[in-house]
Amino acid sequence: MSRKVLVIDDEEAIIIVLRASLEATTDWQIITCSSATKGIEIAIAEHPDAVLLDVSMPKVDGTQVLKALQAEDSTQDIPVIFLTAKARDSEQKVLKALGVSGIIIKPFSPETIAALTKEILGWKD
Amino acid sequence: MLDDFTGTGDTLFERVVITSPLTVSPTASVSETIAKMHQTRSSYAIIAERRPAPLLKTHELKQHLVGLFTEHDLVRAIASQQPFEEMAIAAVMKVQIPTIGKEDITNAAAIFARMRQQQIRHLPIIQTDGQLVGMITQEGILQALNSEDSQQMVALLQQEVMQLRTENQMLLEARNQELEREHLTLSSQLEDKQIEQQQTQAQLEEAYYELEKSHNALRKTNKELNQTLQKLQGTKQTLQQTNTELERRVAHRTSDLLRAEGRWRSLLEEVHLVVIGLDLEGSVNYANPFFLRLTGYSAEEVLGRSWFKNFLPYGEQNHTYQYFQAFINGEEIPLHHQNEILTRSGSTRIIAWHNVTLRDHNNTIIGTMSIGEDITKRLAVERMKGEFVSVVSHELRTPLTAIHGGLHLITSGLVASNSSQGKELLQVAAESSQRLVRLVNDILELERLESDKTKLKPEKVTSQQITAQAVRAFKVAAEAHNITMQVSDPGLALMADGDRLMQVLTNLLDNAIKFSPDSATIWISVEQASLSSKEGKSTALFKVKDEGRGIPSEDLSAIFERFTQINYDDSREKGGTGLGLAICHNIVRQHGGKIWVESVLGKGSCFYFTVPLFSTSTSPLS
Repeated sequence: MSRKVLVIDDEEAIIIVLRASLEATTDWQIITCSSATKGIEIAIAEHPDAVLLDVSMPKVDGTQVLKALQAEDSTQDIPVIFLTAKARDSEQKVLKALGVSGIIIKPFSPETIAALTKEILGWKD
Repeated sequence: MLDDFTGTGDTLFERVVITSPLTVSPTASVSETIAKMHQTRSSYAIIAERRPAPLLKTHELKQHLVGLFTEHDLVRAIASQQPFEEMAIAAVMKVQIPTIGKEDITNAAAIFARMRQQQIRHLPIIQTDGQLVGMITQEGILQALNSEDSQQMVALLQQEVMQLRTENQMLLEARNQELEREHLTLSSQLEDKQIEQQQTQAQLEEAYYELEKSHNALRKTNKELNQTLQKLQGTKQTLQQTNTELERRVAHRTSDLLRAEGRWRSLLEEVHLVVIGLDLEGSVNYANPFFLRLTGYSAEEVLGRSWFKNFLPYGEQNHTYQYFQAFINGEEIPLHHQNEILTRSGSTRIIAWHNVTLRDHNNTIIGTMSIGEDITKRLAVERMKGEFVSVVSHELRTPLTAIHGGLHLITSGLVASNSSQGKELLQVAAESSQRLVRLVNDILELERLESDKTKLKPEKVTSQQITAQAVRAFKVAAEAHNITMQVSDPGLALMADGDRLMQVLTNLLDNAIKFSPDSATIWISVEQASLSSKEGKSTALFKVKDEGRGIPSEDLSAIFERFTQINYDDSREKGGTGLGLAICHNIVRQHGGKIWVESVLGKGSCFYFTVPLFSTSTSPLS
C-alpha cells in the first residue's frame, strides 16, 4: 500500500512543482492544499503518512498548522516536515524546537526531495 | 596723807617713807601728771585709783596702786614721739612695777640694796589688801640713814665696787682672751682665704687656659661654620634655582593638565555618548549632558542616587549589579556589556557600555566610569534588516524553487515537456521567472530610493502630463475588463520629478485595475489641496478611487510597508511583489508629500497623495 503525503503550501507554483517531483520519483499518493485551514481539515480527514508543510503562509502560518495537528489526537502522530525559505541557522533552530520531524530548505532539488523526505522519516521503501 | 602709814611708830619707817607721795588718778592725762610733777618738784607720780577697802566694810574709798610714772618714763614717752599729752596716764604706764609690803620695811640698807639690784629709784609700799601706804625713794633712804646704816651701806657699796672691779677685770680678761681667739681665728681664716685665693687664681688661670682653648676651637669651628655656611648658601642658591625651575615646570604641567582636563571635560560634556560615573556603592556621581538629554532627567534627579535601583528596568537590575560588583572587585570580566536603561518617561533605551575603573593615588579602586552608545535605533534597524532579509529571502526563493524545480523535472526527463504536466511546469517556471524579475527590480528600486542613491529631478510639470500618460498606459488593460477610467484634472503646475510621479500613479492605477471587478469605474482626479505641505507650500492632491474589494481597516496602517500584501494569492494572481506601495510611499515622501488610503471593505478604496505645486519661489527639491 502506497504512502499518502499531504502538501500544504500557499504558493500554487510550489505545489505544482512538488507534486510533479514526488509523483515522478515515488508511488506516493500526493494530496495538495494551498490553504492552511483547509490543510488541517484534510489532515484530520485523510490522516496522511506525512505532511510537507510550508512555513510562511498568510493569516495562518505553518507553525500554527503544526500546533493544531499536534493538539489533535487523530493527527498528533503524523510526522511533519517543514518546507521553508528561512535558511538562517537561528530561524531553523526556532522551527526545530517546535517538534517538527525535519526541515527542507527551498529551493529544493526535485530529484532528491523524495529521498530527503524518506531519510528524515526513516522510510525504507 | 596715806592711811595707816603714820600709825606704825617705826623709826625707820618714819624716816624713810614718804607718806604723802604724789598720786594721780589713772584717768589723768600725761600733761596733767607732768604739770603736777613739775609743781611738786617730784621725780615721780604714783598712779592710784580709789576704791572701797573690802576689809573695812565701809563705803570709804582707799587708794590702790595702779602704776608709777617717773621722769625716766617721761623721757621714754617723749622719745616715742607719740601724741601722749592728752592720753590717760594709765595708758602710758602699764608696766607691772615692784612694790614692798609695809611689814617688810625693817632694814634700810637691805631695801637700798634691793632697789639697786632692781635698778629702781622708787618703791611704792602697799598693804596686804593692796592699799597704797606710801613711797620709798633711794634719796629718801640715803637721807634717813644713821651711822650704822651708813657703815652698812658703805660696806655694801664697797662690796659692790669690789665686785664690780672683779667683774670688770674678769670681763677684760675674758674680752682679751676672746680678742686673741678672734685674732687667731681671723688669722687662720685669712690664711685659708689666701690659700683659697691662690687656688681660685690657679683655677682662674686654668679656666682662662681652657677658655683660650675653647676660644681657639670656637674660632676654628666658626671658620668651619662659615665655610659650611658658604657651601650651604651655594646649595641654597642651587636649590632655589631648582625650585624655581620645578615651580615653572609644575606651573607648565598644571597648565597642560588643566587644558587636558578641560578638553576631556568638554569631550564628556559634548560627546553624543552616555557617560556615567559610579562610586563603589553604585550611586551616580557623574552624568554627562547627553545622558540627561537622552533620558529627560535633571542632574539633581540623578546625582547621588543608586544607578541600579533607579535607572535600570527591574529585570536588568540584579545581573547588572553582579557585573558591577565583579568589575570593581577586579575580576577578569569583559569591559563591554549592554543593558537597558529607564528614561524619565518610563521608556527604555539599550546602551552598549565600555567600562573602566577609577583609582586614587594609592591605586585603590574608587569607582567606575562608563561610556555608552545608545544602540536602540541600531538594534531596531538591524532587526528590521534581518526581517527584511528573511522576507526577501522567502520572496526570492519561492519563485526560484518553482523555476528550478519545474525546469529540472523537464530537463532531467522525469516529466515529459510535451505532457500536460510538463507544459504546466513550463508555465509555472515562466510566470515565476517574470515574478522574480519584477521582484528583483522592485527590491533594487526600493533600495535605491531608500538609500537616496536615486536623486529626484524636480521640474515644472503639469498634472495633465502625468495623468494622461498613465491612463494611456493602462488603456488596453482597462478595456480588457471593460473598466472605465474617468479623469478630472484642471492641469495644475507641479514641481516634481515627472518620471517618478508617473511611477506612483501607474502603481496605484495598476492596483486599482487588478482589484476592480469587470465593468467597474476608476476615478482619477487632481485638485489643489486645502492643506499645505509641512514646509508651508501649496500642494496638489491626487486621488485614485476604485470599486474593488476594499481593504480591512486593521490592515490600512501597514499597507505602505514592504511585503504587506493583504492576500498572498494576490502576488500570484495579480502579479504583485508586495513592494509597489512601499515604492510609492517613498517617492511621495521624497517630494515632501503624503500618501494615504481610505477604504470600505466590499465597496472600494481611494488612494490619495500630495505633491508640491509649482511656484516662482519654489526651490528644487533635494
